[in-house]
Amino acid sequence: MSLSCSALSFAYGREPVLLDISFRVENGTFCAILGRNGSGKTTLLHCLGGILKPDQGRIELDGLDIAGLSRQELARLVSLVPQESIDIFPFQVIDVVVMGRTPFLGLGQSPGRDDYRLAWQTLGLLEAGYLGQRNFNKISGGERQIALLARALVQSTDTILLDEPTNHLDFQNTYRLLGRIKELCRSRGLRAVAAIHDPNLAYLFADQVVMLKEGRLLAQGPTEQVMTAEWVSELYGTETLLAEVSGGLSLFLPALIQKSRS
Amino acid sequence: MIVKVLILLVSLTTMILIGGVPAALAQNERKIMDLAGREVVLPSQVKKIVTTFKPATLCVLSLGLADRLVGVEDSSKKEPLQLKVHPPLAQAAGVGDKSRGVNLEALVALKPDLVVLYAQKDGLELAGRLAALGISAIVIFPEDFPGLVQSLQVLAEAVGEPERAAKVQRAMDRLLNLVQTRISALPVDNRPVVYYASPQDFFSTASGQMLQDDMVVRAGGRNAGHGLSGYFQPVSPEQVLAWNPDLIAVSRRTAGSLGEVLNRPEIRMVKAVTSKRVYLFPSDLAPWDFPSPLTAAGVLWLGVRLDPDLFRDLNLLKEINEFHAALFSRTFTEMGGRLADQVTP
Amino acid sequence: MKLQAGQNSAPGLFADHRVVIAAILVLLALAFIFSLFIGRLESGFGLLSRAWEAWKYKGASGLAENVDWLVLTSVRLPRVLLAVLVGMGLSVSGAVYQGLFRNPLVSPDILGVAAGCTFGAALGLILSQVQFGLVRLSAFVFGLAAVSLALWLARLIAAHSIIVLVLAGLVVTSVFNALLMILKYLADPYSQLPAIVFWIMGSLHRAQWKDIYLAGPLIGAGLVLIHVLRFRLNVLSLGDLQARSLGLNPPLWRIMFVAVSSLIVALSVSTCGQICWIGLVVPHIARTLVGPNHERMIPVTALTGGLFLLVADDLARTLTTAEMPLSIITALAGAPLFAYLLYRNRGGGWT
Repeated sequence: MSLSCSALSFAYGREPVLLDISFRVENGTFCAILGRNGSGKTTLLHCLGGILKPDQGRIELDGLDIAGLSRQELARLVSLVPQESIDIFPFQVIDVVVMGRTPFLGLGQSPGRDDYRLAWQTLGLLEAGYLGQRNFNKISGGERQIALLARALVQSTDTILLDEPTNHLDFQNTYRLLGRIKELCRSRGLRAVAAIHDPNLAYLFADQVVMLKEGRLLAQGPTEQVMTAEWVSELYGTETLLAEVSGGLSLFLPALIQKSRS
Repeated sequence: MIVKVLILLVSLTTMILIGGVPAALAQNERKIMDLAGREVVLPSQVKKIVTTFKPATLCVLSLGLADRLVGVEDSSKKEPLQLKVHPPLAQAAGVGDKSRGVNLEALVALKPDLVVLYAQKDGLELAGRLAALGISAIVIFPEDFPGLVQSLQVLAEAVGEPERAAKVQRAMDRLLNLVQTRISALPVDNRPVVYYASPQDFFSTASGQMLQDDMVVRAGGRNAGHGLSGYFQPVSPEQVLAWNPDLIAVSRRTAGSLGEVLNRPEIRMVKAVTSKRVYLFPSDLAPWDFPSPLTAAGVLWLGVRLDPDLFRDLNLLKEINEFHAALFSRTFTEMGGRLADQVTP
Repeated sequence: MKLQAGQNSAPGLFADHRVVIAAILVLLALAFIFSLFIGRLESGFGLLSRAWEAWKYKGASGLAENVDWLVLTSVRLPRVLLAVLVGMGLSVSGAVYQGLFRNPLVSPDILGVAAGCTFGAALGLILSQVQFGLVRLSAFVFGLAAVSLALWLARLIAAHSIIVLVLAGLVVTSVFNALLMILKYLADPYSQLPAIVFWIMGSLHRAQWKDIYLAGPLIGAGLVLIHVLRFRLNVLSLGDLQARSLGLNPPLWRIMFVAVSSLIVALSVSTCGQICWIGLVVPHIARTLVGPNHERMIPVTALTGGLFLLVADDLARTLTTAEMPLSIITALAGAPLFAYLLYRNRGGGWT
């Protein structure tokens, strides 16, 4: 049971963005997609989510080619937490979260009591119940991310795609959120694929890492194998060290930090 | 120094002489007062006239001055009456009109002796500009009966032939008196109520301040919309029913919608409709409910329709023919005119 | 109306939107009955008692001949019904457009429907070959043509962009307004031009049952459809990316909503002329009362719109003996109200 993508290629008009990407994410796995800005992370996520149609290659969910699925069917299998949320009407957060039930609603249907209950429960799960009745436009960027994550969870899919989920989060909430995602992967058997820009976060939380460099697959595989100083240096084009921190933890640091400190 | 003084003296003298010449010539010109209270200087001979709105054109034509018209407002180049009275009008220059704007250049290019303008703000402004260009312009206001008579007088005076206006006025007064003498005995409160359907829409009528209201009164009726004020006012079917007019006079332009309107259940109950006293305002040549000397004919026609018994001794068509002959040197029927006031059921 | 269940309280003025809906419904019913009894002809119970007498003594045929009954059923009833219908239609269309374009300043004429209708009417009024009854048809056809043109133009330029759609609408509106100017210029200033100006001004005073038969079913069907699908407006307002991820096909839904709303507006304008401000202000009133969630806001918009136009029309026909153009009242009431609502809702996060 997995999400697999083989020989995926995508171009915006004549400009190629992704070239021959293949990897596979099993159930219960948290996969991080690393890369510099503009390396194609968001495009890859959008292809996986069926938002963009790849020029070549196949994407399969549990053996089903997603190209053959309707939008609504796909939405029941894959959810997306976008990078940014535009200002919309001043909806209440709970109303935004409950929209995750859309793929399950018939044509003339609206969310019912059960749908709302699920939405409240999910917010509670993320320790964000207090957000429920707040104005979506007025909460902080980080709180919006949590609300959108709640919505993705309410969508009850096996796969969640996240685009830079920790962008607006503060110090401790970043770790909290990623920890939560990992825990959900374990407890519910979810597959989470997150585009992350900080290699350390990937190192700490992801089970699997996919490295994208200029639209091509640089490396992919289990975290221990891929997250080495050599690969990270190659990915970001700058010499990187893996420094040991107390408690058996390590952090990646760019080598030039030594120079600036001396 | 002395040279400078000499030059100054010479220039001053020249200017006085040059200025003086036109002043001397001006002794041959005439001055009249137009209806906007402006003093207008006119050339001794007025051979070329330009009009800028339809009522003015109709006034000029009724004064028998058709052959002096070198420029008219655009619409008169196509109107049946104007063309029947003076066919060359089709080739006359069009200068725009009151609503859309008058083309100053086209006007000036005609080098007219007299331009006839309307009494709205831009008409007055135009008159001033023309005066500055040395072109005589008079402002008239033919939109009600007194104004119509005064406009005819001013126009006739402007061409130096006041007896023309007197002739038209006599013809108009004759028709108006034909009605006045017969209706004077009727008590005002008993007079029939008339609903006038305006050119805008059937459900729009003339207020008490409009020409058509005056016409109805002179014809021996009472205008249903007399209590309204302003221009044409929209009214609901309910209001028409409430007024319950004895006669309905419909402006020709609105005739197209009559079929649909007369079928409405509430309109079918109106007195004028049940007694089949719904008429189109004549004629098919030119509308008689429109500001022009023909309104006198409109009053006579309406009077006859309102109370046919009172006018049993009168031959309507004969009077109309003579009226047109007095104004246009041709009778109504000669020009192919028909009353065409019946509403086909 | 399926009332929303849930544990959430509304961000609008009123906690329970059901209370608001019930209140407006009651007001609307009262206004409806009241409106039937005011008017030029003597009103009130005198009218009813005379009608009753007629029926008592002469039966059904007596009733048919009775003037009071006739005024009630042939003049006032269709007019009042039309006011409510058009008020609902224009308001809900405005709400749909504001939701689709995520812009509070949008009104139903944004895609050129009103401009097209007005041009079509003017064309019908000028061409002597066109019978009077067909003027309305001409207005309707050109109204739809204008919207179709805007949609086609937008598709040509950039199929999925909302901004392009708005710009295309702007272009189409300007083109039709220019064409209208040409028609006004060519029109006979003494008869055709006043008729055109008169038509544009917007009024219900010619309302008859025929209008209800022609426009009623379609406007009603459109309103029902929008009501049933109103949740999708919430999702669409999140933007194309998120709407897609939730399983919708945004361009398709947009076209659907635009088509239904435009149909409603075209029917309304071709029946009654242009009535401005109501499509812009009433959705704001509804949002102020029950919040922006379309689930709650659409029914409130419809009811409020019906009430608003009904009251405006009552004023238009009773303030003076003549009829005032409706747009004067809706503008004089609507514009300051709109300004006040914007002020009140400032800082709400989307103005």
